[in-house]
Amino acid sequence: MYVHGSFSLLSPPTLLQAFCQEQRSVYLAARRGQITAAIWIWEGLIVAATCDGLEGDEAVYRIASWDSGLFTVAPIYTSPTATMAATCEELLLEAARRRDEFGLDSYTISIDAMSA
Amino acid sequence: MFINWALGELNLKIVYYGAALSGKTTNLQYIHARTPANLRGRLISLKTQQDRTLLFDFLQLEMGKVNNLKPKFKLYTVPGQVYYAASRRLILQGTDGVVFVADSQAGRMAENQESWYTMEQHLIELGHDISTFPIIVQFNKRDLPHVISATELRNQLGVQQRPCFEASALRGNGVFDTLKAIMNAVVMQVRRSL
Repeated sequence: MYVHGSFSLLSPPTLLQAFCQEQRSVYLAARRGQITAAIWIWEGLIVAATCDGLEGDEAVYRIASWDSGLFTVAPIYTSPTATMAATCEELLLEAARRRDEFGLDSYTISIDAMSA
Repeated sequence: MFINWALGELNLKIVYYGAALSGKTTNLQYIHARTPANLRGRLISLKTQQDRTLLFDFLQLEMGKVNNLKPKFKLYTVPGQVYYAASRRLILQGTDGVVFVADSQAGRMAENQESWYTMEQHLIELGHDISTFPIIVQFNKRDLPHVISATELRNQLGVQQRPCFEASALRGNGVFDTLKAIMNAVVMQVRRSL
């Protein structure tokens, strides 16, 4: 029982909000170029995340900025080791604030440089 | 609007929009402080330059169910500064109604007008029909000296056909009148669409 898709069709913020609003417990694995990422959602809260060496909040901010890439979502039945506990909205709003204050270009350039 | 089947809730989103320092945050803080703790969620605060972005959700039991679903409102503010465009767009995504908070002070009309214009642009980009979309206008800071008359504010903003409320969010005057008006407008719109 998996969901597969592309972030060019369904953005990371939309995808995350859907699972969090339904208070699901899922594991999301994503890939963009050579960069891999993972987010664990437990009962609607984001409890762990990794993205190319980043962990926690910073990993979510990075993934939220992706406008392409592929994802797979699978249900989880036991509580993962939590390294954070944040609502999706808090994290996405902070990601948007950073994007506004620091600019998208610097993020995009660094992502592209790493995936090259 | 988001229908949460698992919880039997209808999640409705209301955004307080307006120029920086117009009083959006003060509105939300007042509402949060006076909503029973068992009906409201945590007040989430995100610091931005000059403003803060706030959000919280609460169950509205007095309005009754909508198609057997309990309405749960999420209230948001947007950061008012011009350069927070991505944040405003994210917050406005999926919104069901907007409270436009205008600063009544004489020197703030240009900011009010620019903010109204950007709000309309964002809503149009998101596919909303501005003529039918629920928007309530609040003329805030009526307690301050040197405020423009409500009639003049209506004319300057071009909101003669919109419901408008005078308020002083700091004192709480008009805050719940505005909130009730937008909640009613949103629920009516949802009932029309279901």
